[in-house]
Amino acid sequence: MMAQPLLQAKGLSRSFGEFQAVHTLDLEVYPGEIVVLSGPNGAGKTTLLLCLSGLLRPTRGNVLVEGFDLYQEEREAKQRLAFVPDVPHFYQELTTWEHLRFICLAFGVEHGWEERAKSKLREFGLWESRDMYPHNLSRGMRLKLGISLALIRPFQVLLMDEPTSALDPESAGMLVEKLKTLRDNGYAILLASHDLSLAESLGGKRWRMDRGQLETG
Amino acid sequence: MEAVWLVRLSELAGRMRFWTAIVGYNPRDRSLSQGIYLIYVVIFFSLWGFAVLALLASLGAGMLTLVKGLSPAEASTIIVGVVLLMNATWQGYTSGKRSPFIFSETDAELICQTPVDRRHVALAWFLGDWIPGGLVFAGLAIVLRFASLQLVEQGGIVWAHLPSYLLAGLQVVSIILPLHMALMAIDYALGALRLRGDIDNPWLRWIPVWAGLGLIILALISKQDIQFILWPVLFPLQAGFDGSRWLAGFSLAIILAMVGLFALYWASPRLNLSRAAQESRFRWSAQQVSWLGDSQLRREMITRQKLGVGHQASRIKGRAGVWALIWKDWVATLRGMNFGGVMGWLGIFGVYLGIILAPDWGARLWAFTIWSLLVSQRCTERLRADLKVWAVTRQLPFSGGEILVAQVATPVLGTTLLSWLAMGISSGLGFSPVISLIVLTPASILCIALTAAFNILRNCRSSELLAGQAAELGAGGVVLGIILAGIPMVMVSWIANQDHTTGVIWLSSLLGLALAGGITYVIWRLTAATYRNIN
Repeated sequence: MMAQPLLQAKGLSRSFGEFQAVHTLDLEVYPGEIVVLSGPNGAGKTTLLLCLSGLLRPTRGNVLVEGFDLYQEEREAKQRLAFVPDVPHFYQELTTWEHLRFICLAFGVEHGWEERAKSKLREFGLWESRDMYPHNLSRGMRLKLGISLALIRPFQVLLMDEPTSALDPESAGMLVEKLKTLRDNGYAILLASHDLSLAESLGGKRWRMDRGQLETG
Repeated sequence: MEAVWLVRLSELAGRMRFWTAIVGYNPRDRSLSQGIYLIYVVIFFSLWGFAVLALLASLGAGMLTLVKGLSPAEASTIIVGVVLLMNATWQGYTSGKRSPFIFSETDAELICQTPVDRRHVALAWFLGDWIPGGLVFAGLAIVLRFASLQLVEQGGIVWAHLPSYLLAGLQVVSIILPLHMALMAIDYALGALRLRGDIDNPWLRWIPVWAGLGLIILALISKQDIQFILWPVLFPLQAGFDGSRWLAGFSLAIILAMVGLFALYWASPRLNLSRAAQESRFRWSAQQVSWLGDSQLRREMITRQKLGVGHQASRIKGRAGVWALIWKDWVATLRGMNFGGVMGWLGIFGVYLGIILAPDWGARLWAFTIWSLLVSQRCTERLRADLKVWAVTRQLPFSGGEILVAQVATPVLGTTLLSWLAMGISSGLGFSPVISLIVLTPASILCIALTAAFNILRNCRSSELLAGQAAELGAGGVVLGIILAGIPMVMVSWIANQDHTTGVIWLSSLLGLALAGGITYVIWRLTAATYRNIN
């Protein structure tokens, strides 16, 4: 018997005025699955990810995370979903370390959060910059902080938009290993990327988007 | 003409073009129609300016009547004198800390690398900055002068008195501008002294601070001594405000301005322009952003400048759940707090005091409107800052209603405490606030804050938030807040006017509180729904 999908979109579409950025689509991502979404610039990949993460409200349709509707059962769905945008923004008055502290507090991770935060920062080479404000970090480091914030909290579904675009090869390699481990532990991962080598090394399913149409075959 | 003056004048002409472009006048067009249009613009803005100053004069008259034992001219002299000296102290401190001369990148290349006479640079840059700085003081002085005339003539401004008002305005402006020039030139001279060669003199910044403190102590000890020491400033001001001995006052103000300019000329031969350019680069960028009208970016730039590179982790204890938002707000507020922020809180406090002390309902309504605007802005600052970090904020596992409450809680609490403090002080001054005001104030603040939040959220778009752009607070939000917060207050006042017994006053206050609570609850639900449905 097939497991319940961790991420599900039903009849989802998004338009900006007359422009249809994402045509009506259905999708499902299962536990232990990595899906790499590719396609040309302007195909609608980022818009789709934004809709799936709740950052952009779909024009039609709904999104279910482990069966919880992202807009009707907001709290339950968001406890299970993490999204890393391609250009993350941060609170300008909080340092790197305080961002991790804040996310842990917000998601109720109180016990052992410091150890988790230390390990995340060391893994991504941010330990030395823990007391720096994010606006003083390089683009790659900001992306690593965005990834750390997603990984430190509880989730079942991980969405990432161009996760390696600003990373050095060593960090990109480390991220690939991390994603594979997550997959092996039953998490569902959907990421958009132009990086063919990333798709190769991750294996998993490949979906393609073009002019707002999703091809999952 | 000296190259320095040429460069500076062309810069000032560029600034003027900015303002003329705003009113639609093209200085390069020499046609007759443009000439006529210029005359029209000048007349229109002169009348408009006069009308605004006359309107503000009514408020000023109310303020002057609160000063007991002094004539309006004496009270005005003291108010403007204190404001001028406080500003000079602050400007002196900042000039001793960083360059008062602001150079653009082009200036840094064209002027600062060349062996031009530094004294000319200092004077040219000072004079360019003096006029805009002096306009604020000129406006204040005119308002108080008009207010004094209103109180003397007991009839407000009527057109028959227009010439006497214009003459009085000119008299006071002709004195305040050279006085301001004198003090500002001394501040710039202090800045020039600090920027001599490669030597840094950090102690220079403390001279104005110690001088200011000395004056305050002297004022507390001996009234006569302080009047004697400050005579060169107070005499011209007095002459400007009461109109008598104007020529003597004007002459003294001009002499003081000359002394100030000479001090600047004397202090600046060894002015290190490269250091000045380096120190002023950030402020030049901030100025440019202001000219473009992007106040949001300017505030961000200033905050980042203040924050620096990093900070040790905050020791404030946090709690899990939605309390995390309050923890974050506390950390962010304490880190981002600057002089402007403190002044903002003081403004809320001062204007609320004005509501209680205002002599009539007209002045009270004005003060309430200004207070509502300040409260709306202050209580939604954090909400707007968080909206700019949409990708993080939106992913938090909280409902829109919870997020809203958490984000307005701290500023609403702060505003309430300040308002109650103002009530306590006014009570000490013999103006006991009515019970209903004490009871209704927190609900009114919350109502104003949520209505402002509703206005901001209604104008937010996901695509803009994802780019770090949150909508500004619109006038509609402030007006709606005033109306909704005003409804229970009007109702309570009406009931209390029918019957003055304590029981009725208490009952009406409780009814008003229930009504305010109901209105606030509806607004909160609406705002939470708007937050959830941001498209």
